[in-house]
Amino acid sequence: MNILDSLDKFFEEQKEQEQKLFMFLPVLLFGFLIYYFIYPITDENLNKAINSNQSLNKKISNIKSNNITLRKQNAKFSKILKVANKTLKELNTQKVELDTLLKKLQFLKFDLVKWADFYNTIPNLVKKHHLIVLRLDNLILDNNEHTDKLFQKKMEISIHTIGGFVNFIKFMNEFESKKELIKVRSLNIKSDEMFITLDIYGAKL
Amino acid sequence: MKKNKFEKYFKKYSYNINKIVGINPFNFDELYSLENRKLSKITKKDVKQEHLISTYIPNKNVITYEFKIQKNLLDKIDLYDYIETKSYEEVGLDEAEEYIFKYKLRDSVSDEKNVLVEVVIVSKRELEEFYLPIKEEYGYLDYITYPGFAFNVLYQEKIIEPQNDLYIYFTKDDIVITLYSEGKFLQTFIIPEGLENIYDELIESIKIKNFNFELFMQLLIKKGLDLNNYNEKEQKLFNAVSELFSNKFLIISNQLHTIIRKFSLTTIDRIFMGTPKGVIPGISEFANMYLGVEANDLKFDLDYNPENIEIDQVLFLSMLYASSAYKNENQEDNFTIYYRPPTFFYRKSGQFISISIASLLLSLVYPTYQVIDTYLVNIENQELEKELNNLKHINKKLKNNNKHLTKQLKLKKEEKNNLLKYIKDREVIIDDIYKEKKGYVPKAKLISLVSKYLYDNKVYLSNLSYGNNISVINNKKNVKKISQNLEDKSSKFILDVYSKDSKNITNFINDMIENEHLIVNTPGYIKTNNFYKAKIMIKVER
Repeated sequence: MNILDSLDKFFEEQKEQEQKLFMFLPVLLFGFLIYYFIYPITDENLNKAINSNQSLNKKISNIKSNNITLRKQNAKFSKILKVANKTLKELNTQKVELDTLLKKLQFLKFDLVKWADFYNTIPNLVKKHHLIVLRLDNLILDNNEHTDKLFQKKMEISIHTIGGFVNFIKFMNEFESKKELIKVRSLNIKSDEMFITLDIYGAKL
Repeated sequence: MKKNKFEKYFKKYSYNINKIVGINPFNFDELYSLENRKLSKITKKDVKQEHLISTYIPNKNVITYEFKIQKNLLDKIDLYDYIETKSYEEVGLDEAEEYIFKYKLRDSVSDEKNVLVEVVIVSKRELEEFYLPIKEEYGYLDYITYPGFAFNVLYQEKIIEPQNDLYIYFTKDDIVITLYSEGKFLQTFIIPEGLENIYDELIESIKIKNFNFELFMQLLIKKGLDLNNYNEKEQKLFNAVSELFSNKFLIISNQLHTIIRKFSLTTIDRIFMGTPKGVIPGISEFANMYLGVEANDLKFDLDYNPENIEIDQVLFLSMLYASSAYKNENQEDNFTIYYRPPTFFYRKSGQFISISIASLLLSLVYPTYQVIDTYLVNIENQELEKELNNLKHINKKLKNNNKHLTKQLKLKKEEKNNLLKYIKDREVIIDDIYKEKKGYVPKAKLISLVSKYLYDNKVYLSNLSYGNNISVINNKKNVKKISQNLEDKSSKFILDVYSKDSKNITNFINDMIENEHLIVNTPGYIKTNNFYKAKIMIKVER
């Protein structure tokens, strides 16, 4: 007797109401088993998958938005960089030009040896203009109070001479005509006696 | 073809009424198939579900019983219960056993008030035991015919016309005589002296070496009761056989007369005679001689049996009868206890399993949908993760690029600032130098210019001083302090001049102011010893 025959026999032995009840039993049984044991698992898995999907979509949306912003920013930066490079090129050209110019002004740079040489030429220069030196002094000074200034060194030269007025003016003119920055600080001419104070400035280049 | 295949699942039963299998009740391995009016011998393995499986009950397993009942009672009682009760009471059935009762009602011409009930009784236990091998082999047995009822199919299928017919069937154990009147079953009576009995009597009278029952049957079917079939040497054998059959026919004749009287028949129209192995030649003459009616061969399979397969005619008729019963949906005469179960969906078990599977499937529909949906969403998630990774990679590159660009920009900005500062510093230096160089008024030239105007205006210079504080010119301590501006703006020339005419001094001052735009002032002049003396201050400004 196979299982079908056994079942048939079982049902034959039951009353009609009982038969209906037994027929309905699998509906309840499988419904219960699936609802309590399978459905929670599949539902949880689906929810996990959906949540993961939503999370991924959100992340993708955010990262896409971020990428767009970064692209725009990079494009902007590239543009700025291009302009900056151009500006730098121009500035460098300007720098080269200024450096070239400053190179030409190197004679203004403070140089003690050069100043010593210059100081030593004064007696000859006086002699050249037929003047007689009564006194010749020099003093090198620092501009300690104004370190930010260009000309931080100064050599003060005091010359006390006697001789002709015109010769003295020529002598003075020769000083003032030199390319170095030489200025007359003070002057006193009385008859054939002349007293002059000259400042020669040394720049920090 | 497909439609039929589909339909078979929804038919209540799986059989095909045009495909009948007959099983010999004396040898369950002997099977015949009747399909589309063609008879063939088959084996067990040829039997399919669609075949209707039929057989008949050997007479030895059947109890027949008849009684009369008033016609007016028929509507008032449950006839089956009545028959059952009466049979248990009068036939002496074992009350502990269950029996199957089938019956036929017959009217009697001589007795109008009563009706004759012919009951066929079979033990259920015996049936179960006897046909159990068939049930075990095939699972069911669709139809079991009582042989007496089987002849009815000849009239149902119009193989012969209804008359008063007598069917005499010589079996191994019995001589079975069945009577039909106008197509209706009257009675079966059995003479328990069958062919084996004749054989036993024959070998008692004639000693033949190795002459067994099988040889006897072959003799009967081959030579039978026809003298012409026997040679001279066999004359003695013929005589013995004829004598034995004569005796049997005398018994049959006596029984027949009783039946004719019993059922008030005027005559017997036809007699059909045969054996399970075939027809006995010459028996027709015997029948004519002893019964007064010429006999026909009890062989009805001619139209169905072109290959002339040897078949027990009762089995053949029971196959036809089963087929007819199923065609007419009449299970009244079916003795089977091993019914074919309905097809799957019509069985309680099938319905239970179907409901179970359907419930399971229905319960699983939503979870399955969720599983499929989860699978699809997970596939999409995999794609999204790939996309996200790709986007992250791009994002990383963009960020790095951004970082690099920001760094570059910072460096460029620093470089630019440095350059600007550098340039500004250099510009300031150059500007300062320019200012200092260009802003300085050469004093020698100025003195030359002043000298020229002095000379032009006849003004004489006695003393010339330049500085911011003339009185301290010689004070070295003061000159140590370098003012913020390289050239002190307060520095000025102070000229001590004299002239004979004060106008000359005035002209000199005017020339200096008008022609050279110098800031010249004087506190005035004084006259001393015919000379006008003055102190003139010239402010040097650019």
